[in-house]
Amino acid sequence: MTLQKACITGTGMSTVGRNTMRLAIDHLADAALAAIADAGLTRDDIDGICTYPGRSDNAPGMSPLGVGEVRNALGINTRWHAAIPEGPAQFGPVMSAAMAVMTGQARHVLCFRALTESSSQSAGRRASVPTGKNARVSGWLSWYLPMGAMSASNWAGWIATRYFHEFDMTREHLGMLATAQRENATKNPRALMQKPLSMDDYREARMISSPLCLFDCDIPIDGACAVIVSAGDAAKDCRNAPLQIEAMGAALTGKDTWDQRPDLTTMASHDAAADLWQRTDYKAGDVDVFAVYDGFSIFVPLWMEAFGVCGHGESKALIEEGAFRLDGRHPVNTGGGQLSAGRLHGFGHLHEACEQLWHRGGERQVSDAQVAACGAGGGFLAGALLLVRQ
Amino acid sequence: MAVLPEIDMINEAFWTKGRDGKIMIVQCPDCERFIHPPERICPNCLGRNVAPRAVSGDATIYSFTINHQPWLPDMAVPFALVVADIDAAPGVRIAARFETDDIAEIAIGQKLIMDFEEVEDIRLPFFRSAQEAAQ
Repeated sequence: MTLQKACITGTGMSTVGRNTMRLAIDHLADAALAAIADAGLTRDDIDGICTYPGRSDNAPGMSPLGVGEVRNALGINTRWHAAIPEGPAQFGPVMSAAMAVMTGQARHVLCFRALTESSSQSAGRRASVPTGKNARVSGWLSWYLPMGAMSASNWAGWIATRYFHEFDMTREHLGMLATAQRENATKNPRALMQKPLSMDDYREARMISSPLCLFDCDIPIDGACAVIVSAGDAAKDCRNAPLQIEAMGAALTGKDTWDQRPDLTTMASHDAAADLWQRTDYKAGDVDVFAVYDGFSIFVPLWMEAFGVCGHGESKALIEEGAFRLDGRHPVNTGGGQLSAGRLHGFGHLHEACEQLWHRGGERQVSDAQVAACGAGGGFLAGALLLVRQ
Repeated sequence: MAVLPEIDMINEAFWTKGRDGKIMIVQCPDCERFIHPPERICPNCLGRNVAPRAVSGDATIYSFTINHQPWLPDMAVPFALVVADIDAAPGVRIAARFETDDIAEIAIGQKLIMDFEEVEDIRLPFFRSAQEAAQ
């Protein structure tokens, strides 16, 4: 039996802001109802819900809403639901939803991500530093937090230092990425940051965890994003051209750690992206738009190498050439990415990829985009998606 | 105020029994594989005889970062965090603080020795420069 591939049929995003003092469920409802309407559906058509990672109280504002809260708030009756805390990174829910609709468990699944990290931070609890409620830490975090490596910027700093050492990359290269993404953000009305960022601004920015400065780190926000994943046959009746999930990559080698991977100039991204290409006849050269996780700027070259746009360590030349710019050969993070549009945890990237494939990119539209490659996650977290407009 | 690890039967030796520059790393006696973070079962040969073994904490910097951001209110910055290959335990890296007089001179390949800070029941490993220690 050949299963018909799943499609993305609608997307929605709340207003993304800092310190909005709005409830997470208000952001979520804005995004979810917009996505349902975008697909040309009504609430009654939604029979599945999925999210990453599910409600979490450990890191402030990181995931204030689980499946249950959203079902209850929106009055949705489901035939299938799940939260995916351990899966192919932030794309776990999209992949799981795809499998759910392919196997007939549901027809239209609402996948969502909601964050209130900005408000939490302003309330005195720093976002993305897992402080937890317990006095002691367990699991993989226990190998970093007690050692003083409290932040993902420290772990990404290790990756960047090693990559710089092996491939002669410099902060200038990351600066070129960060400033180019900001330029994209100024063409994206949804993006958090609308003021241009110059190379001088970048050079003078305070260091967070060397070699990563403030502008190499994404921005905690309040907001929500939702996508509708539909069964292939059901997608045809929706409002937009279906965006087929042509292939998914979720492979992972080695342990769940940020420091033991034998080659720290690669990440799980390389496992997931390589696996994705095993499942399709499309090639990296067919991709019109890339949307890759940029929790930290250094992840961008790693993801692009993972997708096989160039060889290992060869991103530097492409960055110098401007290949990753909006008008370059391989446009990346056309909406500004998390560095400039705000940390929607991969869902922002997916949203932007869909905007491009539906040709709704306005000033930042990549001409006649048909194929998008999306990568979510850093370190030992990675999920990759290839979307093809039907 | 350090965030401390929760001790269990698998990680107890690592967190509480390090001393004299040596750290307890789990090893499989059947296939000799060092396993870190420690596991109950050898992921290589699936042997169940794994046991912690005192290994010299001498190490070589694989990568590093200088943390400038105070993530907790009382965190003194800047400080160095290294990922170091443990010389006597192939395949094992330990990520820890590096206390050095010369933070600007930290480099990949630099040789380290291990020391411990006692916090409650934990002996928290950190690195020092082998060269500075020899002076």
